[in-house]
Amino acid sequence: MDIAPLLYLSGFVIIFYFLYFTVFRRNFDYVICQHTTKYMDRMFGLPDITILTVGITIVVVIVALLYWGLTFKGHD
Amino acid sequence: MAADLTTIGVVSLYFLGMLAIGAWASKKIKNTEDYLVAGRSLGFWVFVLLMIGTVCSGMSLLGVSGLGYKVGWPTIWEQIFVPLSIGFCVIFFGVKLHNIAKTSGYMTVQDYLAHRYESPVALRSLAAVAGIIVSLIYLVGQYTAIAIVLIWLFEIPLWLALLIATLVTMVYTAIGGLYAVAWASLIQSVILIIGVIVMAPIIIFYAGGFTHVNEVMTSINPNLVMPWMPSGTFAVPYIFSFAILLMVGLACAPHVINNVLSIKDVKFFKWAPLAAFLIYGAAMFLLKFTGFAGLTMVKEGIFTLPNVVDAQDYVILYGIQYSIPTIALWGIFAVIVLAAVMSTTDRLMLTIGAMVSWDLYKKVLKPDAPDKTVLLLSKIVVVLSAFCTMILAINPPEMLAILIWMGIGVMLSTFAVPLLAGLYWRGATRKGALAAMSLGLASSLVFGFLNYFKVVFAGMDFANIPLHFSFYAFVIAIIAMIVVSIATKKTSEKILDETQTGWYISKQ
Repeated sequence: MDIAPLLYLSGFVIIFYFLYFTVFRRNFDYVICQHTTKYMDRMFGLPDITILTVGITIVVVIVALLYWGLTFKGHD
Repeated sequence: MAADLTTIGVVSLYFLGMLAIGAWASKKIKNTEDYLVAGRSLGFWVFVLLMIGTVCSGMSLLGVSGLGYKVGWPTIWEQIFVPLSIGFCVIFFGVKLHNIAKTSGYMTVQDYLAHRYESPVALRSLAAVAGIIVSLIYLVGQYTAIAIVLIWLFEIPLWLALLIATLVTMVYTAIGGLYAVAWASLIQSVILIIGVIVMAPIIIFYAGGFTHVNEVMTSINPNLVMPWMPSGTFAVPYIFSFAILLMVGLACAPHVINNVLSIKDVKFFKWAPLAAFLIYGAAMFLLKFTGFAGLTMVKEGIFTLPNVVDAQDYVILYGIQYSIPTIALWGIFAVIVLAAVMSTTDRLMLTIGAMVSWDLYKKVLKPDAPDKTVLLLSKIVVVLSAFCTMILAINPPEMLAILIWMGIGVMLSTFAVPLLAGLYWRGATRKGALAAMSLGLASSLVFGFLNYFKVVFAGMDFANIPLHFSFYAFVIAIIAMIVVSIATKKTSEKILDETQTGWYISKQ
């Protein structure tokens, strides 16, 4: 079992946060906060950024574990 | 509140059930291997629920909702990375350790460390002593949760609450070993998961629904519904270090990682990570939402929390009390919390028993000790560890409270590097592992104290360090492992091949 694909997926999460933190953060926060403050009919009463980041992370984790399950054969 | 007869009956029934499992399991114990690794016979669901039960402690049950109450959505990452620690443990440690253990007969993870690093005494002893200390401290922390629930439910003194819970857990663990712990965990995890899935939505509904709860949180402080705080604790860098702490630190904790040695077939590792993540994750998300709901109810004046230290840990108890008027259900909830606490305490007790009787007594002090003596010593240590930690929990010294708070952080910085480097880097050496383990342990204690006591040193404010304190110690352990390993004698190729060391999970 090659662990490279798992590492790629983990890397995706880390890169996402890195980019957000270093490049997009100021504008992204500003735009989203303005939007969510103005419109109170947002999903579940949550800002889009919360839905997006939590949702994407969960999906990435499930895909990674699914990939593991589909490719792992093991041997006894 | 004082419990009625129904509640007492429900809790008593639960305790009797656990004791019955212990009695049944005791008949299966023939030797030390049966006692410590359940004869390497655990099936898929017993293993998955044992892992969930071991990771889900009582304080995580009360603390998850408490942290949600206090800091809101920025703490939601806890609910992703704690369930993911099971997957991390299985994938990165479990597959290799299980495969090597089949031929080498490992009973504990210290067996692996001693074999891989050709250090039958030094590294084994250091790892065992560090593991015993960390597990004992963690065990005392578990009793705090037992005490909170039993005192709340039965209005009994602290010592009596602790004595009841300790006696029951200690008896079934001491007589039934890992068979009893595993099957008790199966029942406990099912109770925990079903209980949370049924009760949490009731509390959220009572608080006005999920959307209303989030809107109230926004009105209190808009940061409470953001995925991270703008600065300080639970800002992005902190969350990154928090994720490493929970995912890797829990995965390499002695009471968690030893479970991978007890599975019957390595193929069970195929879907165990996903099953554990989905089941445990769902329950943990709901628990966090009950903390949010509790905040809403407090804000709207439905109830107030008691005036005690860490009052937020009581939020789920008060949420239940005010959302569910049927007193019988409170008893069921008490059983849920007790199940969470006991599923961790029993595994911790057994881990301490294994490290003392197997790693220190059999492998270091008296290699020719007969199996019967080792088995008997394991049982005695389980009993002693139960009573010692119970006495400490009745009146914990200030120092102990700090060490409990450090808990997983110390596990991460002590065990993660020697284990990961040992399994995946052929250049890792015995002296490198000793340096990484001792420096990781020492530096995590130093950074923990500096952070806890808010020390300002050389212009650096340790109360406001951007990362979790354990992450700095983790980095120091990595550097120590690399530098010392490069400078010292390499491990023999024979041992590296025997221990399947290399940049792969399994050769297919």
